[in-house]
Amino acid sequence: MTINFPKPMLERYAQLFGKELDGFLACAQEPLPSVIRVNTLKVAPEQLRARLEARGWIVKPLPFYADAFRVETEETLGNTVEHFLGYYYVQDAASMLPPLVADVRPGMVVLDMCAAPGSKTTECAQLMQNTGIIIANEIDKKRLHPLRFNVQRCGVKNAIIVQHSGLYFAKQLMEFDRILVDAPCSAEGTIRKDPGLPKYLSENLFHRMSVLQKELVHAAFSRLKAGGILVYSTCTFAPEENERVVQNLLNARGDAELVPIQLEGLRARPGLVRWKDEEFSADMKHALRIYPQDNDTGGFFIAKVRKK
Amino acid sequence: MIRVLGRKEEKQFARQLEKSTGKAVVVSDKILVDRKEICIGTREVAAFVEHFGKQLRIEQAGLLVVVDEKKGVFSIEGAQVFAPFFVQRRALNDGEVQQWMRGVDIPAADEKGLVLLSYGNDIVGAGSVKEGKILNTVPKERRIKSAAE
Repeated sequence: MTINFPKPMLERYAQLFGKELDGFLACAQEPLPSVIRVNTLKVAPEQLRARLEARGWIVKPLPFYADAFRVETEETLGNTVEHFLGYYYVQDAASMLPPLVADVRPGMVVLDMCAAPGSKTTECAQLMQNTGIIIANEIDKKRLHPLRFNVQRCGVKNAIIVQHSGLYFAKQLMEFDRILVDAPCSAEGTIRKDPGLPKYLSENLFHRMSVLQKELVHAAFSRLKAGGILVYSTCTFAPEENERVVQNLLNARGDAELVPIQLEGLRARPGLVRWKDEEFSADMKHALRIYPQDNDTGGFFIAKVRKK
Repeated sequence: MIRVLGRKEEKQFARQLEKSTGKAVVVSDKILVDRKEICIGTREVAAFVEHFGKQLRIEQAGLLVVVDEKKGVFSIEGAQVFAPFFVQRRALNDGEVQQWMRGVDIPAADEKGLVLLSYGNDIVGAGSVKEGKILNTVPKERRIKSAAE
């Protein structure tokens, strides 16, 4: 597989990755490894591991998440009895991070603002042991179907699936302990799944996405309880969609503070404090940039914001 | 419109379930009804639906356990939740479970009415017997695909 990056994108990446540009470009050509998250609502990780290993699978826990395995098998991951029964969820390892970073716990009231196809909702449900409430929101009617399917297959009974624009929540009175905004984005971090992606990327796209992302993050923050945590994430590298969006929230809300993220076993870079001629808060170093070559995953950005 | 059942209706639902499964059913969760579908949810979910239900366009609340109340069609998760209350059980072999997951009916032995289907220690669903077959209830989107598909 050879990915052709347009020249302006290569120039951007040279600026963003610096000396690691070649490492990034080499990793981008490689397909993603197969990773599954054990659905602990239905099966214990060691039980599933033993069962899959008995069939000849090679199963290795992820260094930063004991309930997730990197697997090698001849079987199709979506065609097994275990998948049918909802014992595991096939997911890129990087996208498992937001619920962990949010420190979602049993009994909480959680909003997953951009929930389809349900990977974060189902992960939250297992972290919450099917207690409390998750409002799983999705604006796109077509994407509600996979969301319902996955929530059902995983045996989630603490979720309420709703269909609204994320901005709708700004007008509501309900408040949340945790809010996940895994925002729609230019998806540069999915390059290993979608080699045709670079032809759609442009500075114009990054700017357009950031307008919506800022609105979503403001709406979400307005519904957070005092002391609550908002986790903003994207699967893209563009600072316009990441640090700029978080900075915009910090500028507008004196009660918002970036807090450090602790995840043992995960290799990550700090958020940028400068991009081109734009300066960000020194606290932006608390955000995480995850590059594909760091942990053999997709690319991701995560910021953890606390409401004072 | 999703509605949370009151105590009397909960009891009525449990009696109705008993007719299908064959044993007295205990439902520890709250029950939510939307048209012919029945879901179970936590108390918090039920309270949230009652409090904020009119402000939100709710697609589903809780876990779908009964797909069609009148026809007594259980979802796979519904069969798992209510498994202890099923009198009729059938253990599927390797070939049969593959057929079941692909959406194929299973030839009945001497079962009648509603049958719980297991594979090893796993509950893979429940189906009603009609004309000598256990009718498949696996929804299309959940069926596994054969290599040719």
